[in-house]
Amino acid sequence: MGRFLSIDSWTGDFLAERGLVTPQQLNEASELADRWGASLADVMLTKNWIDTDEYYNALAERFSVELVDLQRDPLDPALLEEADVATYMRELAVPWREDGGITTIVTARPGPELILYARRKWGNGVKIRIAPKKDIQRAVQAVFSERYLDAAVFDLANYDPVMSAQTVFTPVQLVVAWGLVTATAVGLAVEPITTLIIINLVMTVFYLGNFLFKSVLIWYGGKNQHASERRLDSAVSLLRNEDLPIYTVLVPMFREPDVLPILANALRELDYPTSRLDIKIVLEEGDQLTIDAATALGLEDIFEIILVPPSQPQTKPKACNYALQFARGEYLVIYDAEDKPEPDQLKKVVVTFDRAPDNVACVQCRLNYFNRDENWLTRLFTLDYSLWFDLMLPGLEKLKVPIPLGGTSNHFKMDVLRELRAWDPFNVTEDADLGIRLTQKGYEVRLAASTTYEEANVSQSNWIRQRSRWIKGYMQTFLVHTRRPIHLMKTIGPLGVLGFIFFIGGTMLSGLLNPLFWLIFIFWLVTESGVFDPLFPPVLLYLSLFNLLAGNGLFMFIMMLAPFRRNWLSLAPYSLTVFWYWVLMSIAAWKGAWQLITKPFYWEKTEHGLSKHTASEVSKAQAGQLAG
Amino acid sequence: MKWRAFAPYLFPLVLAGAIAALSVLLWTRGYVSASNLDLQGRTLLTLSGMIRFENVVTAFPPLPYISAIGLGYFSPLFNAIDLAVASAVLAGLLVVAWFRAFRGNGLSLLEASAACAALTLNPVFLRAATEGIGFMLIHWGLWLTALGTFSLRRGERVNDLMLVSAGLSLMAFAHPFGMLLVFASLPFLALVMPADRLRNAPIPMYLMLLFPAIFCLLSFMYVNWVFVGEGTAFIATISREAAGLGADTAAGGNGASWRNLLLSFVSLFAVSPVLFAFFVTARGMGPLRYAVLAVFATLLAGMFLSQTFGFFPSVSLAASLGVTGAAACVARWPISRLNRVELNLLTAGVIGGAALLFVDSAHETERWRAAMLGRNVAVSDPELSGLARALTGRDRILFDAEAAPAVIALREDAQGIWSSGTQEFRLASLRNRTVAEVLVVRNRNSGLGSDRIGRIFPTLYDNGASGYRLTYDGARWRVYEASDEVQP
Repeated sequence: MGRFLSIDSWTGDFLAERGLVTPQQLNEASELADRWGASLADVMLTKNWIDTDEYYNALAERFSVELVDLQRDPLDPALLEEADVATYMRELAVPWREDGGITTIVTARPGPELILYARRKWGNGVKIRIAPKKDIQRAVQAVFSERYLDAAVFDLANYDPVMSAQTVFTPVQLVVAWGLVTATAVGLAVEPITTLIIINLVMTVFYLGNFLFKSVLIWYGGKNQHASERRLDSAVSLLRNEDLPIYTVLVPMFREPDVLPILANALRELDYPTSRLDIKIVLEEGDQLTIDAATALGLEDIFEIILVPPSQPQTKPKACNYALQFARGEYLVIYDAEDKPEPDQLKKVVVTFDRAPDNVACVQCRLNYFNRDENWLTRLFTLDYSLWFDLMLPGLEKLKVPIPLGGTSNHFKMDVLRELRAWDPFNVTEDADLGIRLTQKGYEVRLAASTTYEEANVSQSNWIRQRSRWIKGYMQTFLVHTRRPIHLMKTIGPLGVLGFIFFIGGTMLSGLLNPLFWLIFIFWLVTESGVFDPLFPPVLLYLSLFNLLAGNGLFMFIMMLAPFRRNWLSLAPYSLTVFWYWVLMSIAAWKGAWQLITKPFYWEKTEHGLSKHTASEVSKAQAGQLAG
Repeated sequence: MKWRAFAPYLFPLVLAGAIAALSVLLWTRGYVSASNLDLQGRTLLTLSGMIRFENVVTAFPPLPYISAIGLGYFSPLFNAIDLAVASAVLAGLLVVAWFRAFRGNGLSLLEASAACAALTLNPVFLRAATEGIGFMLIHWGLWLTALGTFSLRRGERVNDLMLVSAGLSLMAFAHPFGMLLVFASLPFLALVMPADRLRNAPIPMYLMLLFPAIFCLLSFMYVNWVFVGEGTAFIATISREAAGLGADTAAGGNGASWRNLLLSFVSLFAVSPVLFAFFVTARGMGPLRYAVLAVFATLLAGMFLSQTFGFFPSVSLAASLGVTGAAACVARWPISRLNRVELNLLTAGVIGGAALLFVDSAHETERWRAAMLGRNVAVSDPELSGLARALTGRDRILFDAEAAPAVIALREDAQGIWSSGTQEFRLASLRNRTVAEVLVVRNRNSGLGSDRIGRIFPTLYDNGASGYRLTYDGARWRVYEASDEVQP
């Protein structure tokens, strides 16, 4: 944790005497360090007022100790303890060599406090060497990468195998599926009309139930929303920076060099003391393009790059699990590369956690899009997200139904995340799965009224790829959590099960079944054929029509309501064109279902940076960086 | 529900029970509203399979009809009292909803109970509560719409948008008068929309508020097209009789005029003076004042439209909606600005409502008044009662019962009726002859034109049929009975 150390006054004066910082910068840094409860050096480095190499050279000179190049002379793995990794990262002090009972410690933060700490930890016979903070972090990562990689992949599967999607279908699930298909086939052969009536009744209950459930959610979600937002805002204004905890920000990226400046800029704009931020940009080792871009960007000291060694499955949750082991915050949030969180988001989350009961382990913020008006797809996608995050999730929260977490901007209590073995690397919607898992383990998820703006997909093929992964992930989540239906009922309650079925099961099932009904309807409408007449007596025809009309109309309506809260009313008429969006959703659902069988753990990559808004955001971010 | 949570609701539940008891009392005194008679007959025909499925799903208004069919399935001895109690239950639930909303707004237990009592005991509300499911659904629709109306402009919550949309849809499909109220509300919805949203996006705002009603209407037209071959076929089924407003247009209104508009205004004022009080005292509270204005103007314009189109129910029934409008005012008025004057004015509405009931000369209101006062209750429609008597105990009756379902209710069952859903009726229409023992036909010169029997046998009403003798002769209906089996 950054704090004001006794060496600060010497270091500050020394740097000023050497002309490495101006007296004004020194004064300002002292003020900020005092206000943030950070060290002077951290402030100057995070503000980029001093070059990192110059600083550490000066530090070595000031303390008359040797500067170590950890790339040339790496750490001795035998001296490091896995259990102490978080401490190494927090104190920035690591054992480097041992010779004749004397341990040499490398540190990025020398001084009396460090010596006291080192003596307590490694005994009186310690020697001190200096190395830059980033070098120490990288060196520790290198020592533990192999062990951590294994844990990132298999920890959950070993600890709680029934909650892991590593096994796609259990034998019991296969037997039940076979039984259902056989029963339907036999029914259609023996009693086709009765079977069709039953199927239609089930569909009616499903569609109407789904609609009613969602309407209830919107209703409950909308109640007292403004009042709670106002309370949150006033509580944030009362926060003192020095009371804020260390916050880990994980940003997993893969082949996204173009959007790095947006991300860096957005994180710089966070209204949170930089010294209390533990930002980790998580990159795949083989992704040289993004690594080069990150290096070229010359990111400040608060940005730490974590390189994830190559292994299968190559998924975002695996990368996050890996990076998590180096995290030192009390809370942790995940952002995507193109995310632009509202500046006060972290503070709002801190307040939300403070005011919530102890069993609240996660706070989900809202997601929406900054390029909503770009084309038809971005408008529909914005309606979809507004409905989900602004209207439905608050309802789920109020009714205490498990919340399937969204892809980013979910903030966790670090200890709970570690206790649950974090994300399932085999699940391609690991956040949704984690939300359900949290509830099953007795924890709650809360929402905070803060939005993270993302880039909406502008291309339909790209959108289908992204949505197919989501739906495949929902299928995995559904399969995982229905393995023990009674346990599910006991842990999340009947309302929770209902929500789980409609939210997770409903999304995938309607996507899969809709095309079948549409095709029958279109064939009947276009040809006016009597082929289906024997199969659709008037009662059944009415029921089917009711499903078709009520199902489409009601969902169109709730989508229309979605932009009301944000006053983006120009989007509302686009909900009338939602039919094509559902077609795309069905294509994605079938693609997801196919992949579930053929490539269950394959991470269908969404390309970011396609939007013309992103290009302008990149230019703005770069301009901001230059100005800064 | 735990006792502590349940206890405060005792009083509104007692009021609800009193409404149910009143409906039973009126029934024992011989009062069944025309709309309940019509609905009961229609439901009996449906449950007996005598109405073609296509006609069931395309009948307008669908909500009371479908509710009654649902009720009929669960009630083995389905008759008029079931519908009267169902209507009373809807009214009772509305009273409970009022009470809950009043408490939610900060009224004390005593104030909320007193306000509920003043509203519930308003005679025009009791009249509406015993009228039928359709009319009570209009009250429910108005309640939801008004609640949303009062908060939409202030709170800008999506919930209020949903309330208005749902309320409008409910009204539109509950009763022809409700549909006209929805049309009447169109210009006044602008008054309750958040000003910035209205300025920036008027069309999307209207779309959001009206989409459910419009979509339901289009869906209903589509169902009509699928089953009957014509999207607007349901329009032909809309009639004063089907809406339970009686056959005689003169009974309810004499067409729209300034005089009638003035009467409507006065009746609304008499029943809910509190609406005006709220409007006057809302100085400096623009959103509230606009909301009161919107509710009041919608009711007034709805009355005017219904007079124009001949669907005006009766002045006391129409004005009863002012009671629900007043309830919404109390439920949404800022508690700090709500004073005893307004609450007392709710009680004043009781006097106005009672006076209005005595002034209202509509036949149905006169019957209701007689039942309330324990006097002899006139029959709803003497001609239909006569027709029912003529058909009681008969069999093999070729009768387009959908044209006068009340006859089935008055006859108490559909046994022996060959209505449009039966094979015999279809054969008769295909062959232009029948083996029925009794033929029932409507005068093509009556206000509603020929029924289907009249269209199959165009000369039947005037000339009768060979082998049949005239056994009932009314201005609108005639009954011919076979003297021996001869084809007409």
